[in-house]
Amino acid sequence: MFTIHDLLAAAVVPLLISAALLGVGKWRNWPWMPPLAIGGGFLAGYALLGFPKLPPRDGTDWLFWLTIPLTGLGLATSALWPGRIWPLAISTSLVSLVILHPIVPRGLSLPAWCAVGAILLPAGWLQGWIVRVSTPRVGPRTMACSLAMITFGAAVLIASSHLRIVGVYGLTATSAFIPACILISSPRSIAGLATLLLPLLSGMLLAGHFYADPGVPWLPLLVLLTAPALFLLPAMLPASPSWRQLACFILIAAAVAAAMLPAAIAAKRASESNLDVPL
Amino acid sequence: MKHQSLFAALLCTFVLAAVARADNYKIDPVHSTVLFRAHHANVGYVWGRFNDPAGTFALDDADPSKSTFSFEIPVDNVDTHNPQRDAHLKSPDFFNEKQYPTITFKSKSVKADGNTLHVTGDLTMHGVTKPVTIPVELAGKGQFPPGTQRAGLEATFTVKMSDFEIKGLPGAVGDEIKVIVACEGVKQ
Repeated sequence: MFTIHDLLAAAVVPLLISAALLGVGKWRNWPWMPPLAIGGGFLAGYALLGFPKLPPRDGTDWLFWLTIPLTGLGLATSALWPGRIWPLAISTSLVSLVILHPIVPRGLSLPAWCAVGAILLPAGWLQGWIVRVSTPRVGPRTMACSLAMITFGAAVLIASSHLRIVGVYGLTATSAFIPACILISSPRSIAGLATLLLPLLSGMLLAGHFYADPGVPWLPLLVLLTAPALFLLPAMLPASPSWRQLACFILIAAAVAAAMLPAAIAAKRASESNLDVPL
Repeated sequence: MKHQSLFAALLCTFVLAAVARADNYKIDPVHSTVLFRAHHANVGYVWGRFNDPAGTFALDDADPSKSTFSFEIPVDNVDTHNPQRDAHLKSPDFFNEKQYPTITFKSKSVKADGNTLHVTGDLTMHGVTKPVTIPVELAGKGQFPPGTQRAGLEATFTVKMSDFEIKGLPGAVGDEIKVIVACEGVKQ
C-alpha cells in the first residue's frame, strides 16, 4: 500500500531530478552525466522516504550509502574507462556481500554468503561484457529502456515478497531511469549506467530473497538477475537496427513479465481475499 | 563473652539476610502471554501475540525496589493467525527477524506503588534500545501444583514503532502499539 508521500518521493522527485541533470548533460554533451543523474535522483527519492542511518544498520541503509560510491564509479566509467569491465564485476560482488552481511550467519550461512560473492564476480564481468558488446548494435536508448524495465520488474517482484520498502526503492530507481530512455545518446553513458545499476539490482534482488521469509523465489530472481544477458541475442541478429531494437524490447519485456507477473498477481489476490489480508 | 556476642551478631545477620532475600522466578511459557494491538488503516484494531516468552524475575517483598525483571521474546514466534501477515512482520518492513531475532527487556530500577511496581528498564527491539517505564501489577502468588511456588504478573504499556526505527506500513498500520504481558513464574 503506497501513500501519496511514497508516490511523490519514489516517483516524481527522482524523475524530475534525473530529467533536469540529463537535460544539462545532453545540452553540454557530457557522457558522464547519466550515472550522476540517475544516482542523484535515486538518492534524493530514497532520502525523502526516510534518511538512512549512519553507520548503516541493515541492508536497506547500505543500499543508500553504497549508491554514492557506485554513482562515482559509474561517472568515472563513462568519463574515463568506458571499455573497462572489472569495476562493474567487482562492485556487483562487493555490493551484494555488504548488503547481505548483516544477516550472516543467522539468515545466510557464511559459506553461502561467500558463494554469492564468488559467483557474482564472473557473472558481473560477463554482464558487463554483454552490455559493452551489445550497446553499439542495439543502441543506447534501447539499452536504457531495457535496463529500466528490468529494474521495474525487480521492484514489483520485491514489493510483492514481504519487502515492500526495498520494492519502493526499486521504483525510485526506475523513476530516475525513465528520462534516460529519452535523453541518453552515448554508448559511454550506458557503460556508466550499467556500472551503477547492475550491482544495485543484484543487491536488491538478493536482499529480497534472503532478508524476508519467504522472500523473492529463486526462479524469478535468477530470471531478472540474468536478464541483461539477453541483450546478446538481439545484438547478434543480422537485421537492421530497428529490428534489433524491437527484438530487444520484446525479449526483455517477456523475461520481466515472466518473472514479475505471477508474484504480483498472487500478491494482489492475497490482498483482496478476506482471509489473507496483510497488515 | 566477646566471642558469643560476635557469634550472635553474625547469626542475626545471616537470618535477616535469608528473610530479606528476593524470590527468583523463571517464566513459565505455557502460562504466559504477550499480546500486541495495532491500529489498522485507522479503522479497527488487529491483535497478535508472541508465543513462548522467556525470562526471569525476582520479587523482594521486603524491599520491592530490589526486584528485577528480565524478559526475552523470540520474534520468530509472532502469531497473528495469518501466515502471510506473520511473514511480513518478520521481514525488514517490520521486525527484520533474521537480523534482530529477539526482543528483550532488562530492568534497571523499580518503584513500588501499592500492588503496582513501576519498572524502569531497557527495551531492545529491532536493534534499538530505549528506556521505558512499565507499570507491573502483581497478580498473585500461590502453589500450583502443591509444592511449586508461583507468582503472576501483568503489565500493559504502549510503544511506538518509529522509536525503534521500525518502518512499518505508514497509513496501513498505526505507529503506536499496545502491549499486554501476562506471565507466571515458577520459583527456583
